[in-house]
Amino acid sequence: MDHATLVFASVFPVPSLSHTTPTPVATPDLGHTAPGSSFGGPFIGNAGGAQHRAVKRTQAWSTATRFLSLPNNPGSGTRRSQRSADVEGALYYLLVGEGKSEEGEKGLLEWYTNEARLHFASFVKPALKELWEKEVELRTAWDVLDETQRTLEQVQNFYLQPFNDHILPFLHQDATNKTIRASQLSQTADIELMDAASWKFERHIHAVFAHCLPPKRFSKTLSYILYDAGCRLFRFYVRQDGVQPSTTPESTREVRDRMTALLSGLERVGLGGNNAQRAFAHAMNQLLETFIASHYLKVDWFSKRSIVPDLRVWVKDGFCPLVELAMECLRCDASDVQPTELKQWQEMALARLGRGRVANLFDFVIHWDRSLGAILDLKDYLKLDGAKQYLTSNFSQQISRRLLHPGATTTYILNVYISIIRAFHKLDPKGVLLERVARPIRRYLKEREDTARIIISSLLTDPDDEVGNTKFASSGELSYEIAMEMKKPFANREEADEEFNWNDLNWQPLPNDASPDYKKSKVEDVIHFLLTIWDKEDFINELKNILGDHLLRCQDLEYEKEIRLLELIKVRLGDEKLQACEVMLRDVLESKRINGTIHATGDVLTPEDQGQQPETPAGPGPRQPRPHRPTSSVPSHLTPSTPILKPPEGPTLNAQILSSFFWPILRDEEFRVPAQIEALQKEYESRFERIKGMRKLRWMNALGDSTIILEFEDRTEEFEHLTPWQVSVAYAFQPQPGEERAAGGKGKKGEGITRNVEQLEEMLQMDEGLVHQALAYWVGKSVLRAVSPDTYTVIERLDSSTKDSDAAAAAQELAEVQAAQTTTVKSQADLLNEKKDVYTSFIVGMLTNQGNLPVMRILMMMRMLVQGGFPFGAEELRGLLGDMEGDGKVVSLGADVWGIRK
Amino acid sequence: MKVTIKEWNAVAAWRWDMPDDDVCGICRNPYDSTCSKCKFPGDECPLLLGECNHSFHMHCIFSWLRQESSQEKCPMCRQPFKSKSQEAPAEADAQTQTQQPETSPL
Ligand SMILES: [Zn+2]
Ligand SMILES: [Zn+2]
Ligand SMILES: [Zn+2]
Repeated sequence: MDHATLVFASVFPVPSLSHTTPTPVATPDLGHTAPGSSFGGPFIGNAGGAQHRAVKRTQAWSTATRFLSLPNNPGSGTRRSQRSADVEGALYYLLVGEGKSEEGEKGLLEWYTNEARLHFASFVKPALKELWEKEVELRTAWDVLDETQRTLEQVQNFYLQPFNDHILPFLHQDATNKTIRASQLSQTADIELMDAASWKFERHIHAVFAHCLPPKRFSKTLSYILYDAGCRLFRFYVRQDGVQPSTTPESTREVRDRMTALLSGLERVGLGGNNAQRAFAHAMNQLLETFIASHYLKVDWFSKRSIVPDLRVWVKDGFCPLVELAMECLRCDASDVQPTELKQWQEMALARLGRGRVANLFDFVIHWDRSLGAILDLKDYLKLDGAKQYLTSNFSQQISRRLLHPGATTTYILNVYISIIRAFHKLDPKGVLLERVARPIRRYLKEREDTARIIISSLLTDPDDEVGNTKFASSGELSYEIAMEMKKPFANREEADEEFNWNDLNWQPLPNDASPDYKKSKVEDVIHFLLTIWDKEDFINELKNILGDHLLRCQDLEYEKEIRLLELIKVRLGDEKLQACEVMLRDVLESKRINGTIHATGDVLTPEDQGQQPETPAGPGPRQPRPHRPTSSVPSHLTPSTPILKPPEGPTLNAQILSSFFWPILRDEEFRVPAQIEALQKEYESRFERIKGMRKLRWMNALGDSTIILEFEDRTEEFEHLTPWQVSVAYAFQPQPGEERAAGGKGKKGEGITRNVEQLEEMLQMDEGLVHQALAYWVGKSVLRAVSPDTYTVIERLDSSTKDSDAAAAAQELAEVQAAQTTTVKSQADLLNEKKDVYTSFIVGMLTNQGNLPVMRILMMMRMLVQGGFPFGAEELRGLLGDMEGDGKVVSLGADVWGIRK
Repeated sequence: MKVTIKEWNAVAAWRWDMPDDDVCGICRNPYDSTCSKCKFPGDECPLLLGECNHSFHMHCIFSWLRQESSQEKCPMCRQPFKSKSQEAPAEADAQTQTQQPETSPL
C-alpha cells in the first residue's frame, strides 16, 4: 500500500460513504485500495485505475469533510479561517474536478447538507422542541415566535457560512471559467446552476426547520400574533380572544415594526410557506370579524346613516394595506391569499356585516325608524349575491318565533307589521322582499277575529286625542300607528285607483322596470296593506258591523272621521260594495236634518203636553218642580234650598233614523222608557209618518243615550251619556203617585225610595240582566245602594252612607266591565240563541219527516226554508245539534249524520 | 230623588209600510233596499203602489213601463198599471232627481 495513503488514512480515517458519519472519525476503510496497486498523485487522472480514483477521492473526501464539518456549538463562530492548499485541492477535486460525484457516489454537497441536518438534530432541535412542547400561551406567543425565529436564523447563518465561503466559490469559479469560451447565454445558465445549488441547500435546511415545529401549534400561534397585531394597530377594544387591551395607548409604529420584523425573519428561515399563509388568512378573517363587531361599526342610531362607507374605507385604507404588508413580509405569492382584490375584501366584509344586521333585523324593525342606519346598511348588503334569499328566510324565522304566537296581541302584531312595511319599503322599494316576508303575517292576522275591528277602530281614532292616548298601549284595542296613517294626506288618488285591482288575488309586486315614483305611491301605502288582508267582501261585512256600532256611539255629529274613512276605503277598494256603509253614514247625517224638520212642524216635542201623558209603570212624568220637603232637622246652609240648576224646560227628543235594511242587526231589547219620552216618541212618529208617506218607525230603546239631572236631598248631579235603560231604572226610583207620602216619612233621614229587582222588571218590562246592569251602574255612582240582596234604595244623603264607598267602587268597576262588553251590534251567538227555538222545532220536524240526514243537508234545507234564513255555518249547526242531543231530542248517528231520538 | 231628563237621543228604524220580507217583483230586492240603480233607499228610491195593489220600486216600474213589450201593464197581474198615489209619477221622479246631489254625504 502506498505509504502516503496509509499515513493519510491512519490519521484521517476514511468516512464510510453512508453519510451517517458526520466527520472523518471512523476507522480507516482500506477496502478500496488493493495492496500493491500504484498510487498516483492527487490530481493525476489514471485511466488504469478506478481503484486509484477511489483512494484519491477518499483522501480528498477526508480532507474536505474534516474541514467543513460543523462544530458542536453553533455559537462558536468562525473557527475555520483559511483554506490550506490541501483543503483547496480536495474541495476543488470533489466539487468541480475529477472527484465530482459520479453515478452511485455521494457528492460533497449532499454530505454537507446531511451534516447540517445531523448537527441540527443534535444541538438545536431539542431546545426548540422544548419551546414548542406545550400549547403556547397567548401572552408568550410573541416571545416564543421571536426566539424560534432568532435561533433558526442563527443556525441558518452558521450552516450557510461554510457553504457560502468554501463551496460556492468553487462552483462560481467553474462557472466563470466556462463562460470564457461560452456565450452569454450559457453563463447565465451556469450561474443559475450555482444558484440552484444554493437554493437547494437552503430548501433542505428550511425543510429541516419546519419539520421540527408542530405545524398546527405553530400556525395557531402565528395566527394569534397576527390577530393581536391587527387589534393593536386598529385599536379594537373588544377582541375575540378575550384579551383586555392595554389602557395606555400603544405606538402603532412599534407594533407594526415588531410584526414586520418577525414575519420577515420567519420568512428568511423558511417559515413563511403555506402554513404561515393559512395562519395569516385565518387571522385576517378574525380581524374582519372583530372589526365588524367593534364599536366602529355599531348601528348609527343617532344620525341614522349607513356605516357601510366607513367599512369600505377601513378595508381600503386599513385592512388591505395590512394584508399587503404581511403578504410582502411572508413573500406570499399573491395568488395564494384569497381574495386579493380590494373589491373582494370589501364585499366579504359587507357580507359579514350584512349577516350580522340580518340577525337583529326584527329588533331594527321594532325600533323603526331610529334604526334607519341599520336598514341602510342592509340595503347595501342586499346588492350581494344570495343576500336577499338569506335575509328573507332568516327574517321569516324571526317573525314566526317572535311575532306570530298566541302571546302577541293583535294590536302589537299590527304595529310590527306596519313597521315592517315601512322599514322594508326603505330596504327594497320594489316591494318584493316585503311581499315574501309579510305573507305569513297577513295569513295570521286574517285568522284573528279582532284584526278588522282594531284596524277600523284605530282608523276612526284621532291619535292626538288626549283621552285616547291611554288606549294606544300595545295590549290595547287601538293602534297608534294605524291612527297616525289617517292623518296623512291621501296620496295619488287616481293612481291608486288605476293601479289597484281588488279582484286580483295573485297580487304581485310591481315589475322591476316600473319607474320609482310609480312604485312608491303603492308600496308605501300602509292602509292599502291593512285593508287587503281579507277578501274584499269579508272585509266590508266586518266594516259594516264596526261602522254601524261606531256611528251609533259617535259623539261628533259632523262625522268627519267616518266620512274620511269611507272616502279612504272607497279610494282603495272601489265603492261598488260599500252601499251599506254609505247608507248608514247618510242615515246619521240625514237624521239631523229630519230632526230639524220634525221639530219645526210645531213646538210640540217639548213637554207642554205632559198633562195628557199616560201614566206608565215607570212612574209619572216630571211635574212642576216639586217643592222641597220640609227639612227642619237639617241646617239650611247644608241643603241647597233650591236646585242649583234652574228647572230645565224639559227634554228634547232627537232621533237617529236608520234604514234598517242596511244596518247590521242591532240590539233590540225592549223595555219601557219614561212616560214623557214615550209621549215624545209617539208624537215624533206620527209627524215622521206624515212627512214620509208609507213609512213607519220602530223605536229601538236599547240604543241611544241620554243626559239627566238627579236632585237629592243634599245634592244635585248631572249624568251624561247614559244608556236608556240606565235612565229608565233611575226614573223608576221616583215616587209613584201616592207613594211619596209613605216613603217620605220622617222616620229615616237620608233614605229614599226602595225597590227590588223583581219590581223593576215588572214596572219596566225589562230583562233582568239589564236591570242588574243598570243597578250596578247607579250603585257605582253612589246614587243607589243595596239594602239587601236584589233590593236597592236611593242615597238621599251622601254623608250617611260613606261607609259604602268600597261597595260603590266595586260596583263601578263591574259596571265599567259590563259597559265595555256592551255593543250596539248583536253577536252571532246572540242571534243563534235568540232563534234557537225556531231552529230546534224546524230540525225536529224535518228529521221526523225525512228520516236521518247529514249536517250539510240539514244546513242547506235550513238556509232555504227557515223563515228569515239561517245565517250560520255548519259549525254553529253542529253546536245546535249537540245542544239538542243534550236535551234528548236528536241523536248523532256518526259520520255527521243526525236523526230523531226514538 | 227627582229625575229630570235633559236630553234624549233615541234610535229608530224606518221601514216601508209593507208586509215583512216582501220584495219588489221586478228587481227582487226587498222594498227596504233600493232598486238596482240607486245607492240610497227611502226618499231617493221610493215605492209606487199600483191600483192593482202591487207595489214596486218606482225606478223599477218606470223602466219596466218604458219598455215596449210591457204594454204598460203590471208585470205581476197584467192589468194596466196605474199609480194609486195622488202624486203624478213624473213629479215624484223630478223631485228625487233634484234631491239626490245635495243629500249625498260623499
Ligand atoms: Zn225594484
Ligand atoms: Zn231606485
Ligand atoms: Zn198588479
